[in-house]
Amino acid sequence: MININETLIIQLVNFLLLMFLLNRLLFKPMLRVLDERRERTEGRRQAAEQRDAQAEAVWADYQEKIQQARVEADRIRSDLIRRAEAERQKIVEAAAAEAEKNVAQLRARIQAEARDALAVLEKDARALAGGIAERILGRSV
Amino acid sequence: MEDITRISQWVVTVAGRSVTLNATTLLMSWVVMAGLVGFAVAATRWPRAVPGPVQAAGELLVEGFRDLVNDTLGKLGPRYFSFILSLFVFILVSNWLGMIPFLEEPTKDLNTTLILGIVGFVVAHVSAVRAKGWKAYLAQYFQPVFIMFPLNVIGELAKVVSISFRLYGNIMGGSIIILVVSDLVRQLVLPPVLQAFFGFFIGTVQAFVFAMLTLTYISVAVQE
Repeated sequence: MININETLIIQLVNFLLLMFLLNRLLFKPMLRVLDERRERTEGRRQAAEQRDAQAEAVWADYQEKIQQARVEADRIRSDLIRRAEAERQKIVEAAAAEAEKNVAQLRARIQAEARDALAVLEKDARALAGGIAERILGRSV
Repeated sequence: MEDITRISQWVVTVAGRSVTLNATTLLMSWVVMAGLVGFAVAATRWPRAVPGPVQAAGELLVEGFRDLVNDTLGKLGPRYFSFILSLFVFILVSNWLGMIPFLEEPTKDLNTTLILGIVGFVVAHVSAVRAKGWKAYLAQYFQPVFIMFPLNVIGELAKVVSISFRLYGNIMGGSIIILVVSDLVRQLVLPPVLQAFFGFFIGTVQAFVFAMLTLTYISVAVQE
């Protein structure tokens, strides 16, 4: 079929016509759709990146505040512990002083009572001894 | 078997001069053109953000070739994109047409492949003149020495011949092999594997090779 004739010219016209039609009907609309999609995607990507950056900032802020709160909580806890310890120490000391005072009072009272009991006992012993001696001697001593 | 050598022709008289046209080639070319225009309309009639199968195929083709042409030609890419892609799809669908019963490939006719080669040649050289200017364009034919001029011219013309005959030979050869094999098996068994191989595989490869060679010729021509 190597037969070059005027078909060549018609094929040239056919190809140029096809190129024109495809350019109008397919390539340009497709490129427009692709560009629009790219712009839309690009816009959304940028918005997403912006939101991502905002979220990062909020997260960092949150982390910083959490850290500050932890430090503050640690400080308050330590302070409370220290104060509670001091309070406990004070209470213990007061209780010890009170107990000591009570013990001293009790001891003094016991000693006084012991002394009284001893005096009574001595008096009773004398009276008893006098009675026994009077009975043995048969006379008043 | 005689079909391969028979050419149905129209002979018309234009301005008193007899004009011969290869009827099958032209009819099949119009079928290809109608198919491509139909595809173009179907792909772009209702453009959607989430494309359907036809739109997706169109987008894949257009985006792939746009990137390819832009990567090769840089900022000149958009100027040649529609030409290269038109060349590719026209040859591709022409080559695939032979797989459909009762239809033939327009690229089986040298008139088709030769004019496509000539168009590529003209585009490349016009681009070279526009990019470099006449003096620099003509000067390159005298490189590296003056006496190389005839060889350089022959080298340029050989590009048209090689690119046209490569496509024509591949498609015509495939058709001949399919015809011979079909005749040998007395048409009892259709050779679908051969049809698929020559029509689809070779057809696609040759269409791509033709488009890429034309793109390369343009790229070489416009280089400073």
